[in-house]
Amino acid sequence: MMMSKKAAPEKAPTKVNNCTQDKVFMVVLHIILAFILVMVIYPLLFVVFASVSDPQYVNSGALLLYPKGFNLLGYQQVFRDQRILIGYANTIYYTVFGTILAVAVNMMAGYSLSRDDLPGRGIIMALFVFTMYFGGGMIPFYLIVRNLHLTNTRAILVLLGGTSVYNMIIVRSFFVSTIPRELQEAAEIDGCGIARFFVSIVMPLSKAITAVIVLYCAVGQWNAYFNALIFISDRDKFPLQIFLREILLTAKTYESAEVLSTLSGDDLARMQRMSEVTKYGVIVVSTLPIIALYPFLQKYFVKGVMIGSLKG
Amino acid sequence: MAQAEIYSAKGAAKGQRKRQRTLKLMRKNWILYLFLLPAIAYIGVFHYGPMYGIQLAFRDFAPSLGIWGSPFVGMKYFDMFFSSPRFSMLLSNTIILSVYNLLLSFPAPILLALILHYTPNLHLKKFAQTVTYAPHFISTVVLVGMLNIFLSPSSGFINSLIKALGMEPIYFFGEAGWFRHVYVLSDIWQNAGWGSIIYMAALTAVSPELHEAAIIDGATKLQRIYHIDVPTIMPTMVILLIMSLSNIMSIGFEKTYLMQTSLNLTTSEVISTYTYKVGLMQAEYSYSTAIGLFNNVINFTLLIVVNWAARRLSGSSLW
Amino acid sequence: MKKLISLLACIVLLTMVCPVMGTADPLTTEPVTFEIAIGRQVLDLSDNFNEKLAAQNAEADTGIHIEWIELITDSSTERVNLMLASGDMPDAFIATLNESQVSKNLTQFVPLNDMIEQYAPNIKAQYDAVEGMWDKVTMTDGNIYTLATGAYTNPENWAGGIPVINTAWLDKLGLEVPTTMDEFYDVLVAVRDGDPNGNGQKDEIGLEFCENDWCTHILEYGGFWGFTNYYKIEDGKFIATPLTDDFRAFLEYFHMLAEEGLLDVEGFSQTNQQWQTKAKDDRCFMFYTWTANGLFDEEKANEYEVFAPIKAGSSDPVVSGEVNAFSGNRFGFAISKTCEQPELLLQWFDRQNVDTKTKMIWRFGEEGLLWEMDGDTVYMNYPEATEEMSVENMKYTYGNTDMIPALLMPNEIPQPNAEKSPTSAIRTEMVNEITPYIPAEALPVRSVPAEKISERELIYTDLKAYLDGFVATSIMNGLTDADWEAHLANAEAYGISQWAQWYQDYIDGNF
Repeated sequence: MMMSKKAAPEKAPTKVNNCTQDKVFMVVLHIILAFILVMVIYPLLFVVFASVSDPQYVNSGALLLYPKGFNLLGYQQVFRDQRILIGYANTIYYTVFGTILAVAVNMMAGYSLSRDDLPGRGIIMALFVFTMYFGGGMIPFYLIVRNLHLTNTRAILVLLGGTSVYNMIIVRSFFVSTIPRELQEAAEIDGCGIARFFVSIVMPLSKAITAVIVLYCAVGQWNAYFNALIFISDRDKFPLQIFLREILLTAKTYESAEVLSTLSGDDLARMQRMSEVTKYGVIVVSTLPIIALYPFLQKYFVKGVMIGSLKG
Repeated sequence: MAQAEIYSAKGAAKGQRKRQRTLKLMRKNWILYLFLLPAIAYIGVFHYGPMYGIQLAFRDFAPSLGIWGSPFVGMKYFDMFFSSPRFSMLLSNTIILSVYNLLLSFPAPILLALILHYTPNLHLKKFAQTVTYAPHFISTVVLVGMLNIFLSPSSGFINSLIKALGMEPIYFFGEAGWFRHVYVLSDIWQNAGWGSIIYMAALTAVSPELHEAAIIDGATKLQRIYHIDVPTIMPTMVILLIMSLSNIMSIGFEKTYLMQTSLNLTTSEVISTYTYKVGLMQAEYSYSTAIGLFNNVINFTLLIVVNWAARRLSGSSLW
Repeated sequence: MKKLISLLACIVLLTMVCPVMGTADPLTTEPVTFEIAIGRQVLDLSDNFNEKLAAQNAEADTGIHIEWIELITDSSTERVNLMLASGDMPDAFIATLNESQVSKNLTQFVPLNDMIEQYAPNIKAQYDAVEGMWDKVTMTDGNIYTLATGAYTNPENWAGGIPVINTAWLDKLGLEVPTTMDEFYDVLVAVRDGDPNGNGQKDEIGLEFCENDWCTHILEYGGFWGFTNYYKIEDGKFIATPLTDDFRAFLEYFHMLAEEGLLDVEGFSQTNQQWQTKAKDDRCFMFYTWTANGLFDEEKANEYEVFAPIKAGSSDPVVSGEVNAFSGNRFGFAISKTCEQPELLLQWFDRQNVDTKTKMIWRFGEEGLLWEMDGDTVYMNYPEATEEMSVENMKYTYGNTDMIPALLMPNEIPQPNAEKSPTSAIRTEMVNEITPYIPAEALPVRSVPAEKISERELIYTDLKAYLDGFVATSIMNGLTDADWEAHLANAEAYGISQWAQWYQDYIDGNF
């Protein structure tokens, strides 16, 4: 729409020139990309190396390009007990159901709010946005959850996962700019109701944004721990992050000198090594599964959707 | 007189027509309200339900008395905050760090998304996407620990490079001037990839036909970026910019706190870290609620202003 | 159905077990259950608090069943606040309340004053025997709402960080232990230039410190000038040290050391692990520490010896600490207003304080593993760690260390045993060696009204941030007369006089 077709004939002679420009562009792009990759990959590798290295080398700056003083203490510590498996199972449960629920709520609300033939949407939007900035704090929140008899239930963690005004706004703005009014009108003329239009036309056109919201909600749920800390007291309902926090805290306890005074010799050396490598090991253990989710969603970001062709 | 009557009658008729149209639309689109129902219920219960807690900022909270029963103290906690000898420093540090962070961290994901979008090799593209996304998951504690190791004046490899170039080593954590740069650059490193996801998704909405037409027209890639891609992702950019701008007062607490040393406090002490320190010994609910309220009133005011400006300038806005 | 069966099973078991296990004197004949919130350490490997021997003994002994709400120490404050605010209170709290939670919510707890005489004879006798004990648990309204738990004192804690130097390096350099500031300076220069660690590199650090390690702060070195904090107490007077000339002299001297490369200025930012790594790499001559054994193997640790601070200013040199410091938890045990039988619960608590042995079982589990008794004296005993459990795991799994319904009185404090708890013995020996340098006067331990605590915290948050920054920048960049004058004015603006007055009033008992 920005490029006027009439201008085409005049531009034609500069095509060759543009070609070299594009070549330069691609070269520069690859150089920048290579630079970015080096900048990002190195610290990531560092985390992985540090998780299997002797912390003495990590902290003295001697760890540079490969693991030094190889050991698996950190991972042994993390996988030492059953808790971690319970945690994984719970987290997967909360992530899957929480994400399904939150994506459904966010997409539906986002779509509704994107329609300019929805009377009162301005007020609803304002009321929603208001809650992003003002809240009543922890205590009344706790009281409400308690009065709903949702404390110490799995349901509360599923409910609280991912439904957010932020996500709704993102969905809404995506719909506003990609679902043309004419499409909706055409569907209406064909006698297609709103619900069917949403399910069979809007959703298939919006795979990319759905993927984004799935990712946002899933990552949020995967990393969440605060609600579990406050509302859950049964250890068999704890998500992974709570157990990992406990493992990290345990490791940290061994850094305080008071505790160390009761340890001696090998025991001590082992504990201190453990406390350091655990820090890095925990990151690897807790993030690999959620990082692995990304490639599955990536394919929705690759291809442009033919909204234009639908218009015609 | 008569004219005015006619006018108002006209107005009334107009108003009635409008109301009728609204009612008709509501009847026709009732299903949209049904779509909104879960969100309204959720926000009503979990956000508006506890909202009465805001009054804690004006009361001296004692758990045993409850929120409604705690004594009313008016603006006591606000006065306390404003009269802190470091108030102006806290405010300016917070705003400078936020704005600086926004200036660099906001465009970074957009550039990254465009670079990834124009990477021709699909495998490289996917690989780069996953790699740049990963740092988002490194916990703040570990991130700051790594910064300490990398930037150490005696043993960090960054300073080894600086020394190899014949320059004096830099004590990054010991100089107040470096704090903001280290904060912002590491923030970009950690979050640019994550932030680019939304733009990658927005870029998929660009119709391939437009690009084809542009190529036939002989447009260069840069021209296509400027004339096709950027306009397409503009609404997303505007929305995200509005939301970032209206979070100026709430710069992240954890990383700032962990990066603080007594040598960089003059630049690294921000409102959130200060609140934490005050509340550390005590459960100062009222005080922290008051500071939070102050921040958010500013944030919300900014939101309204920025949103209004965005609507006038670009046509996209939150409402 | 399942619940019913287990309930039946419980009743059958109880009726079978009670006559055998129970002592002649249970507190109740009817089944009673209390709910108690208690601190749980992450090192605890048990699945349920009732697995601990002491909890089982208590149930058999009193006939009272306890349902424990275990709160992980790191998040317990938040949980307790929610309990207090929502009214969802357990019958009692053990080792999960802090001063402000109690002082702001006095009406939520049962005053124990009148009940103690009748229902807590053991507590009464033990508190009566220690001077000032009742004051420690009396709140500002004159009532007693809480009883103390943990251990009254811990000799290992009487000092904080203790200064040590590497004497092997001194031998190598042919130098004596310095006794004057001039000699001290010469030694530091010799360490810098003489390559005592013999690696051919000039990487030795004269003085090491780390602001992120609680016992090796830069201010510990102020001990040479007679202070280790922003205050000291002399003859009942509270002195704000940052306004004194000694403080200035300390900053100027350390700036000089920093300039000459005798002080590791990275100490202002480095992490705990970074500095410990330097020590382990054999680069540090002097630092403050808990014990050198916490850092090195035994041979290397033996090279480091306690080094008493030298007098550098107008006051006598000091090391931070407090002899006979009270280390119990004054808010250790409190009964909620919602408890239906507070008298019985108090009796239960009193019964856990009946003798040293019962208390020690609460603390560290069965006798013979982590502790043993010889006559009336308790000795610590640290077994070999196993693959699954470190000694620390054992302490919190078999017992609950300080988070227990009992208080070890001064005469019951466990002694270290050179053979069976060697690190403990080493630390105690170090503390004894440095004790002459520990200031004689310390702040009293007493309750303060809630609003007074807020007042102090609000001043000190700003003041401390300012002072920390001032100390660090002065050491890094030096200090001119104008800087010092500006500092005196700034400290005043940040409320140093108000702060000092607050403490003076506290010492004088004005509130």
